[in-house]
Amino acid sequence: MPPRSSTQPRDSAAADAQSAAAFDRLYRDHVDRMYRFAQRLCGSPDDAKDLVQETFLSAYRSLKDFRGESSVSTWLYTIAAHACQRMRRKRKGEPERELSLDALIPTADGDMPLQVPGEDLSPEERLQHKELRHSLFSAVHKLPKKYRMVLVLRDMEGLSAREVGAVMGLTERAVKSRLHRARLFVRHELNGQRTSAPVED
Amino acid sequence: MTTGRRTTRTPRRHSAVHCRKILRTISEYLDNDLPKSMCAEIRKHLGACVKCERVVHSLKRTINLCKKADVARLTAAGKTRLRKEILSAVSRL
Repeated sequence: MPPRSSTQPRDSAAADAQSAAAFDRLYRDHVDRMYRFAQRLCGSPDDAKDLVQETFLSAYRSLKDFRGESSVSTWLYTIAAHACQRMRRKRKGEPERELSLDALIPTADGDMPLQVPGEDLSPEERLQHKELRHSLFSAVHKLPKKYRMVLVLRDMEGLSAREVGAVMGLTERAVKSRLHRARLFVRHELNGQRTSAPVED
Repeated sequence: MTTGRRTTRTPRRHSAVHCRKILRTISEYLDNDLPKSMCAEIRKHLGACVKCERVVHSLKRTINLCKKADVARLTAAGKTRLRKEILSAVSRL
């Protein structure tokens, strides 16, 4: 956690030194987590590095304002989420799409067997299953960003629904709704079904 | 021979509407976010509806896969380089 001094620094050099030391601690303690998050969110290592850079740059600017009302990691996830939105706006990507829950819920007759390996594989073997991991990330990256962010934060980073809501400025209810759609979408993709059906403009 | 009572179980047909209602809440069920009475209703349905049970099983596997999907780490050199780039950007602020 970045230190909050009870006494104000007497001059700007001392303040700079204090900021630099606090930043170094912040960077050292959280860069791995932020890079992992950024990679899961962005897909490519280069985009992930850009996001991490933007995140820590913003964190440096607002370090003195951090009041410890949330954990440092939640604070950084929030900064990263905003940075991600800014980067997306700059790139003028496709408009966000909505996922239709009705289209994602399998019909009683139309479900296909999932190609995900079962419990007979050890966790290590599952992680080493390159093709499967590729399929998973490919499915995750087909998700519209607002759904992807919820899935990555909740199911990959392990935040609670409340924490995800705090990061994204959403109610817990909205987080759960997006999460359910995102999970069904990924499941649907891993099943090898067509992706066009569940997406609405 | 007895009459009236059937001794063998026949698969029950579940209405598509009921199946969809169950599947709408299934993420919250898997996250233990539903009241006990609803969990009991869902468990009962899943015990009797093979198709919903299969969907739930595959969704559970999907979630587990997400939880275990790791990504490459930043190397020590990469961390140092990135830190330098950030501090260089800070100095231009």
